[in-house]
Amino acid sequence: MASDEIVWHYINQKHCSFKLKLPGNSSSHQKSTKSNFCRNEHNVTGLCNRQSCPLANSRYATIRSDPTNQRLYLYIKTVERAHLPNRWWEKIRLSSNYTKALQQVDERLIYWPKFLTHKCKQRLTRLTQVRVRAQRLAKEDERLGERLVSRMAPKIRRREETRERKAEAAAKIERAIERELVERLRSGAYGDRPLNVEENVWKKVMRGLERSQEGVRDEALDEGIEEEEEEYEREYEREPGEQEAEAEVEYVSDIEESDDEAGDMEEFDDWLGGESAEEEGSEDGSDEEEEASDEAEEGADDDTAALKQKLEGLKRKRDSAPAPKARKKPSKGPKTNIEYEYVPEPQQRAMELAR
Amino acid sequence: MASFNPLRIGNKLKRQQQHQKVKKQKENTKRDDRFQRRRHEDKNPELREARRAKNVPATIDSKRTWDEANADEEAEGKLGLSVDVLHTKRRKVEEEEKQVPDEINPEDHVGDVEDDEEPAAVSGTEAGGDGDGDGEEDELDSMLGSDDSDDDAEADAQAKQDPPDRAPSEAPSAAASAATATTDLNLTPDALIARFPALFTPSADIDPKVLVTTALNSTLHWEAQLLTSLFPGSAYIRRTAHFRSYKYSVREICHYATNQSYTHVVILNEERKKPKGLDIVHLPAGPMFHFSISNWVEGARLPGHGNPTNHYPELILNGFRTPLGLLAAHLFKSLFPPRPEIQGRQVVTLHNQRDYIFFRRHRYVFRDKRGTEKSIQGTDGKLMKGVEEIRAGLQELGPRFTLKLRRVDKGIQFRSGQEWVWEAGAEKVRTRFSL
Repeated sequence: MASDEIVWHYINQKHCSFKLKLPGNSSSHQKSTKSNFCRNEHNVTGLCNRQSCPLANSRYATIRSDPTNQRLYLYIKTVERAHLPNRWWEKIRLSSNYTKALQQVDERLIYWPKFLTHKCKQRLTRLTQVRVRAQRLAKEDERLGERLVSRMAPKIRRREETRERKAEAAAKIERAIERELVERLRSGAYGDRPLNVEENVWKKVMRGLERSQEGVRDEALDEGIEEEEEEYEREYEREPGEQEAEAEVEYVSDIEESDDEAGDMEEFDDWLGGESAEEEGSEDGSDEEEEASDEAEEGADDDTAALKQKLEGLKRKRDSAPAPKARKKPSKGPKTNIEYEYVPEPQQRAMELAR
Repeated sequence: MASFNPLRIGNKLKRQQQHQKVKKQKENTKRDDRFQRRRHEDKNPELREARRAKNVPATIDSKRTWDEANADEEAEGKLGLSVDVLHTKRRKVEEEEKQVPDEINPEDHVGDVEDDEEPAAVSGTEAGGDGDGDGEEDELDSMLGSDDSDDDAEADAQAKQDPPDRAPSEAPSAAASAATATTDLNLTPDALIARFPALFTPSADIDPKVLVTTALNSTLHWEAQLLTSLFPGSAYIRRTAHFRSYKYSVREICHYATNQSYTHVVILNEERKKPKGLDIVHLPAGPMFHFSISNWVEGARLPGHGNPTNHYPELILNGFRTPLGLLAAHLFKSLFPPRPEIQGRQVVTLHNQRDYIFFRRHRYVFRDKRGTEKSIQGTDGKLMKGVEEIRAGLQELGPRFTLKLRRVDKGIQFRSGQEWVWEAGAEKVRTRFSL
């Protein structure tokens, strides 16, 4: 007891390693902005006072929480153990129920100076609030589950930056893209009449492939395609009105109504049992062959022979019909496909033809 | 002690002059040699080819090391191993044939694999009408031929399970072979498919629906909007910003998205007002992929950029070779609609080089080669036949960035367990890559 005074005298006037002086108010006027703090973990208020100093009081009590389990403990220091420093603090576990804990503090610190019991209870209150809030935050984090991505060590960050730069240099991305796109074009992944290529370029590609004999191509189909393409070109250059005149002059046909109506042909085909008109010219070759064989099977009647001739003649025109369909308008933006719709001829006409 | 070099000139100026003189002489002799060699080789080009074939520069990609595959079944299931998928598949094909003569020319075996793929390409050409559907296969198969021969030559040198009586590999081929070749997504090992059925077997052709969002308290709304322009069929929904409002967690967002028939959730992470990470969740309850973003450059900052349209882009996936890489490749593939609108002439490229995935978006046009340009070279370094006069012009659109895969979670978020985690220690070996 007597030594408390001496200790305090020394601590306050000379040196205390737990004392923290911050710029602020150190006088006794405004209590809330005090500037002398005590960093001792057993201090009940946190301020550096004669009453609060755990070193200068041989009878002291405080509340601390255990970091592992979030429980609060009451630490009591009594005069009787002042000569046994390693047993100064008596650690009493408090109930996790706040009111019960308060009562426990009351009964333990009965007959103690009011200052200490009051400050202990205040500290108990504050620590429970902190604990509750921490639990709530943890639960929220648990729910949100957004983990903080830790910052990368600078050495690793620098290493990655360098490696990325080198990798980009080694990658030659645009070359690879170009190569892949041209490979797709060459292998025919875009179909027979691709929409993303210009006419000349596509023809060049096809000619190049034929020269190097890559890809499987029917020779019959080849010529058909080339011929038809030339036809398309020629016809495209002229006006559509003239186109019909040209076609009619070229092929002999009895049927006058068959201008450019492939619908007509569709009915005709169905009647004959051949395949209906396809969009791509490549199919026409095979169609012709098929129909020829069909008709041969049916028997070489004069009618069928005549029909066959007409069919073939009309087939040519049928080929020209889809040409404007697949045609693209050269434009600077992304190319659009313009489709032409034609209505199939009514039934009556078909019957007329049959006769 | 003091090293006394009698040849060292004491006078600094004189010393420097002497050094310059010697250097000049050396460079002169080298230049003369070079020009002489060039003249010599212009007369007979086979010499040049022979010299080039012998002096192939060694690159990291050519020196790539692979992990040992213990038992084939184990290896194909795991994601941690860096195993070349193409190599494994080919070994399977060769084992099936059960012919192991002493000196095998690797190309003979390549022929078999190629034959399987060629009919696919051929049928693509013939069935022209259904171009898009077959095009999808073709774009995957097209690069296989040239890949195989080079890959085999490389792999034979590195494979540890090859029969010892196999001929030693031929001269190392050009480095740009399998490292940057287009991934053939059909070559995924079956065990991998079995582990992630939802990702590998999308039922028919569903157009993907992507929900783009950011992390909590993020300010990257503009960048997130850019992402919506990137993925067709996507929408950006902001996170709750008010301090006291209820913040929806990622799991809840995914649940909501599944109910609204979304296929993916994309989360953009931020650091200091810049995009830092990209988390992609494959719904429902699918694997979650965490990428980190570096070098995010917006379209406007690229010189000569263009503005994207909303045509469905084509997809190019390069250089994904391990099972983990294939998983990532399938994820990217599933993010985009399966049938591209080729009249849009837009292409999205994800090029993996040494574990860095470079994302680019271009508009292309096939044009004639100008007089000053070279023709396109295939992966083996030789010119591509049939298209010598064609070049593809590229105009870059939209954002470009680099991704690096950091973590793959089994479910949604960290606590569902990790399939694979990036470790800094694994990068100590320069030649080992995990994608």
